[in-house]
Amino acid sequence: MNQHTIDLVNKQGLQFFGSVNASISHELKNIFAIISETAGFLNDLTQLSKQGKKLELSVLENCSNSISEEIERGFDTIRQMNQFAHSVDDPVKETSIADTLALAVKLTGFLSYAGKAHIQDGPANDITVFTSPFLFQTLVYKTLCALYKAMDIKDELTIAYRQDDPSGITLVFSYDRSGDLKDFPDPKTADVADALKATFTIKESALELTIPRDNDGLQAALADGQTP
Amino acid sequence: MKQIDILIIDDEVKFADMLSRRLSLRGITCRACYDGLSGIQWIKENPGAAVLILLDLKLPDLYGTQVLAHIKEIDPAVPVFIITGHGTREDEKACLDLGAVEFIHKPVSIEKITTLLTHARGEVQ
Repeated sequence: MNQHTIDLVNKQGLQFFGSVNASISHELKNIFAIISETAGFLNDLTQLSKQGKKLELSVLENCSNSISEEIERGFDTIRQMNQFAHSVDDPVKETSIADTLALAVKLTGFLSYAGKAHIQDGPANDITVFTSPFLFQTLVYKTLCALYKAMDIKDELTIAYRQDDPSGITLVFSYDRSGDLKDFPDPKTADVADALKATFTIKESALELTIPRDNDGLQAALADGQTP
Repeated sequence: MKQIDILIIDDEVKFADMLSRRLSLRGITCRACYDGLSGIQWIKENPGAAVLILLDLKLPDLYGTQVLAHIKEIDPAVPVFIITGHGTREDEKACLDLGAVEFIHKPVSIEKITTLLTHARGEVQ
């Protein structure tokens, strides 16, 4: 990995971190909007009650349940935000494929153009790769974004992964109708893939992402202080 | 054709319903649609029936910009306000280019919406 690539990845990493945080904040806005409207409605009912209108207990109960549900949704979103934030703790480490995919699907789900994605159950034993968890998350996220943009919003994406041989893992993003992926990967995504020694194969009904089980070059670069 | 004040197109069902109920308490008539196609269908069946439209950007069946384009084809005069938790500056520009009056980020106060309606009624008159 040359210095040019490292610089590009550094810049991209910051942009990626910002864009993910923005999408998380959008989700939180939606949650707060519901809580805000529900609280406002309770206030409206209180004012009406002061004017003599009877308060229905069932309405209060529904409002209370709605607020509780949204708070739980908010906690879930914060948990994802926290998990994502911790992806930069270790420059390289054993990184779970299942966890990376699950988080990428949740994070991209906050985007306005996100479609539906379903992750198929993987092997009983979790598969890991020794790589940069943050860059790997970046790559999967960017792949999902490209696929969502290429697909119709109603189409569903199915994601599976397999270990074909000891040296690499393949993530398979399957779709019913192939969208326009002729410009994929874009140069920025290609730079991240290059840093991770990952490769893309675009087929008629699937996009495959293969990542090496170990990335000694990345580890060596990071050991030299060239933090991605 | 039933005249209403505000058509809300938003897949956040709880948000749309709660906003409708709060506006109803203020004498404002609303209709909520929870996806893009049902919103477009309602407008087709009731052209010119809504004083204004509140449109979310993230919908399960169509992009908000696609819905906006359809609305503007069917009923070019109706003021459409994008009201969303999502959306980038690019989204905002695209919506304004397509004819949205304003791009509003959630949460939004009930007073803001009643003000929008007051202004829209003035434009209609």
